[in-house]
Amino acid sequence: MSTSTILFAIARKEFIDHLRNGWIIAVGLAFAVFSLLITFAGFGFTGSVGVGQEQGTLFSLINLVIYLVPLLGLLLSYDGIAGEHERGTLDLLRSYPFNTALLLYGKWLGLFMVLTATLIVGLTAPAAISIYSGHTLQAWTLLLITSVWIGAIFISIAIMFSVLILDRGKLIAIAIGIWLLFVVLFDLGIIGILVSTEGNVPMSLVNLLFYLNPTALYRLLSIDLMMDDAMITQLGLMGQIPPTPALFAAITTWTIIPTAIAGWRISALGK
Amino acid sequence: MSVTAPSPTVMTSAGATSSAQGAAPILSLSGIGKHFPGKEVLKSIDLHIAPGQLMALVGNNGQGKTTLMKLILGLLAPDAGKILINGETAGTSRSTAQKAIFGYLPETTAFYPNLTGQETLRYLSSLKQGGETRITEALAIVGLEHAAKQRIKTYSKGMKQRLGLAQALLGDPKLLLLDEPTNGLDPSGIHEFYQILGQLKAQGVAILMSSHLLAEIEPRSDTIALLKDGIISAHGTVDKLINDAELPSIIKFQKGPRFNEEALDQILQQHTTEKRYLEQSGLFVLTCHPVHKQALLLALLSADRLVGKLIVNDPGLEELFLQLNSGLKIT
Repeated sequence: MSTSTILFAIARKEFIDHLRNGWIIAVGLAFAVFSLLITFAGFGFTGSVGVGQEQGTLFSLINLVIYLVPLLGLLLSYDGIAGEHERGTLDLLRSYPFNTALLLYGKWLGLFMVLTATLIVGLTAPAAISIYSGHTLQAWTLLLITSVWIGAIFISIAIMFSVLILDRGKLIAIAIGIWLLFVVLFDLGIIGILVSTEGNVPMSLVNLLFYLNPTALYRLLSIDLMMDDAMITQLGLMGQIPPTPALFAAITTWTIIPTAIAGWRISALGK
Repeated sequence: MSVTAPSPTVMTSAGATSSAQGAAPILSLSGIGKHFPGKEVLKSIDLHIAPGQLMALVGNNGQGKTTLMKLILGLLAPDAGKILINGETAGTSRSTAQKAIFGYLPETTAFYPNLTGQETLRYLSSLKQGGETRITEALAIVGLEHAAKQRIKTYSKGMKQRLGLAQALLGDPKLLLLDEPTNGLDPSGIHEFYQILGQLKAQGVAILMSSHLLAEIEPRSDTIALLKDGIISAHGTVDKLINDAELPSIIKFQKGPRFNEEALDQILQQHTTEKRYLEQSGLFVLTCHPVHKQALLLALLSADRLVGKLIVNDPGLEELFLQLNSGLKIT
């Protein structure tokens, strides 16, 4: 039995489970409502559809993604392994003739597929309207890819804690805490630093701090990939965004490291 | 009155004997110890199970039955001792080849409510290198074909237990580890379950099963291992354990038409027997050492209409279990 067969069997089961419990449709449609509101609000401000308008809409959607997608990733995955533990299937599957780390990687893959499907449901309507109005598919494709990616990072983080803690009650609190930390408190902290030092902080130091927060990295990467120079200047970020490869390397690291820790830990369970 | 006739007058329960004694063990444990923070669960466990053998692991809750199974499966690592699987030393982790011989039924498994029974088995079979045909077969063996396409959230506890057993049978296991397997099964389900185990045994599958339903396992196990205070405090066939324990036999009878208490006392004096009289039921209850039972029975029955209706209760696993757990020494 090949590793990939086992991996895909686990991922497939995870996907079917979330399709049937209504997660993909319900959460996808809720996301679609929010993104449509933003899209129509964007069109509504000027009464006409222009290039600048698309940029504004995308920027608003990037912010929506920053608020919602990490939360979706965390809520989707916080009990990924702990749930198997409580159901009694973790011990059962650990007794099965395959490396237990595959259970974790397969689950990650399955949850990644679930999130991707959810975001496709959530972004299709605004994308269709925008493209129908003459905008490019490219920006929307990039938005989907980066959104799925930021979600994947939070799936990795949630799964890591799910293996380390194995207690759903604690894990839901941790998931909310992680969301607050990275999405709300981190930015407040940076603003606090800038205010208390009256802005006398080298930008390179602030940029370094951004590497500690995947949502900050996502914001920079999305702006870098999707915003034009006029928009970047308007945001006051011209010349301030770290190099694209560095951002890619950072979000890749954020995706891999928690999953690797979880993979190591699940193989060492009970030892 | 003295009675010397040797022929037994009353036959009672008898345990099945092993069909596979002497075969090389598929599983051997020696000196296995395990402690959790603040508690030593297992001190030194020695166990050997041969192909085709059904061993019942008996003990009160918290005596470490589940822990022992997890140690065998490699879900926990022992602090001390050695585990041999198929004659091969097993370290803290099990190799894929070693895991492939296991079929494991955990004490409680909730499975996935949104999948059907068939989908669950298909999923688990693909993780166990099994084929599609085995799924239908496993569902048929546990009698779940009719519910194969129902989602598990509609299953009763007993149906989930059957599904658990079906998954344990996937992949042709050589050693079944069943933790309280008949929990939630109704009497006919229990009967069918043991029929399945009988067939598996005949195919050479070794079975280690934990339970505290003593009356249920007594006639069906080849050997019993009693887990108490971190060791196997008694081990052997049911008959051997009961004989070794020299548990008292109990004889109850109603007064016969020519009952005479003096005559009774005379008989009892010769056979070291305790006597009680239950007013409500009008029964005499005699407690005697098993070696005196036959002679005592003969004496009672030979006396002219001294006794009426007579019942003999030979000690079973339950009495043995109670005695062992009350701390009395067995030889």
